[in-house]
Amino acid sequence: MHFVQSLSKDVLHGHPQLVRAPAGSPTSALWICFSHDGVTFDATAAERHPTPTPFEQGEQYVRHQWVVLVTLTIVVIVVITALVFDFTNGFHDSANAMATSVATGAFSPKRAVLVAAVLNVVGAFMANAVAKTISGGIVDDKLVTPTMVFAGLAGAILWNLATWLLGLPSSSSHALFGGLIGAVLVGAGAQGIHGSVIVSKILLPALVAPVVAGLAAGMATWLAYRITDHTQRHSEILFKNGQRVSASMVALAHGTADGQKTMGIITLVLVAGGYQAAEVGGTHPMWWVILLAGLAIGLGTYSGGWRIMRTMGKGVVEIEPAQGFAAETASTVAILASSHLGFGLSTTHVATGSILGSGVGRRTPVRWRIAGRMLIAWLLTLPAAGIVGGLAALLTEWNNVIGVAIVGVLMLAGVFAILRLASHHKVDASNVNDDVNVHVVRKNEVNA
Amino acid sequence: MIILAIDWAALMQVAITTLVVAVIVVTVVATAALALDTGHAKQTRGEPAGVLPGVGYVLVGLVACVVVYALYLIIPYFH
Repeated sequence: MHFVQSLSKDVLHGHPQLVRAPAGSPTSALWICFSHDGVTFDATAAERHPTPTPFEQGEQYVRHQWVVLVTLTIVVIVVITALVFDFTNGFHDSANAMATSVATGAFSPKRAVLVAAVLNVVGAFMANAVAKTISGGIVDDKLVTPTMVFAGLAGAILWNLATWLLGLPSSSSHALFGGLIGAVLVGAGAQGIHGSVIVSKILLPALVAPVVAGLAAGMATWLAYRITDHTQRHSEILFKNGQRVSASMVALAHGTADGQKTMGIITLVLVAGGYQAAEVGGTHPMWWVILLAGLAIGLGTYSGGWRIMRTMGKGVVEIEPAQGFAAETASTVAILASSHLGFGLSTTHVATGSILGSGVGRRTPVRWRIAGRMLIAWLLTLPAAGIVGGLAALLTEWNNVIGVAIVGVLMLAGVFAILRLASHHKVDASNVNDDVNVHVVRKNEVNA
Repeated sequence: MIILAIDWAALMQVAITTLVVAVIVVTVVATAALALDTGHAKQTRGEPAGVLPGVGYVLVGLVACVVVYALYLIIPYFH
């Protein structure tokens, strides 16, 4: 037996007689299953119900077994999908912390990913933020259903894997937001999208981050090479150790920030499904959610994302220890400044900008062609993940059960196809520094 | 409307902090390296290194303090 805690007017839009949304109703009312006079239907079905009956707050309702089963299944699927996304987030962003250290030999490739993985897990376990919103205001959270989250995650996962295949760094957060935006656009319409927040929280930071980090890294590198003879013993030792420290801090900061994103999503989906009570002011993730999300991002980081590691460490510019140290320091400062001064920047955009800037600062040739491909990938992240998320939402919102199943199967097929393509020219710990290009098709065919 | 949503002050703060702190940290480490290497070179020539190694270690210590502060910022427990 359950009680209707609140009815979201947005979920039940089109039926004004059902509107019972009190001011400040929690987003936990994303998904309400209820019954009346022995008829059980969920909130989405209520929209199609010919004669919906008004509900009172506090009214008792019983969940039909079928609804319970479907809810549980979908929640389990969304949780697993969120953990898969967390894994791809880890391997996509492994390079942000470690690419320069691997390229200069400050860390051996295997040690680099081990250190980054452990620090990501530690960071994720330390994170103590409560789950408040899925998107941080980019979409209208009241309109987001667990199946839309699932569709958005599918878009983000496929985009993360596609960019990994091409060896291109791209922001996992942007992929997730893109997927969600697409899903909400299809599932709830344009009123669910907050355009100005997209500009202020996604588009502008994506332009600002590489410029700020690049300038800082460029100036720092230029100065480091003016002050020292970097080939001397102490310089080499200090710069390499400095790289190890700053890279480790990027990994730790990444764990605290990105680890809790997935925890937040899982927690809000559990709340929406009725498996966890909502808390006022934000819900604390349950211990197993923290454990699983931390391990997923750690395992992802440990798996290395070597294709992206190669592009960032070797592809854009040749990196020396002094330059790597300047780049990592600029990244660390930018990430910490952005997370504490209220203007969020993507770790990926910061790290990439730093590496480019350090190359310019050392006046070494920068492979602008590869940098250009990265820029295109950044620009495409939001719309591409959005299109996949939107298409997935077409199916999941058409039918919560069959649609989710079809999207799940299609996503798995996509994942395996990308993994198969990647296996043709594998990049791993043993050959990450051997080439500047990440090959997908035939070695000769791929652009320099 | 769109322009209003952007926190330009925070943006400038982040940009300036990043630029200034990154340049200072790298400059301090580079100066430490210069002091240590110059002291070492003097010693190998049989000359007294003077205050150079001391200066080098003090500068490294300074950066270590910055690292501790950064850890304080990263670890949520402290906030």
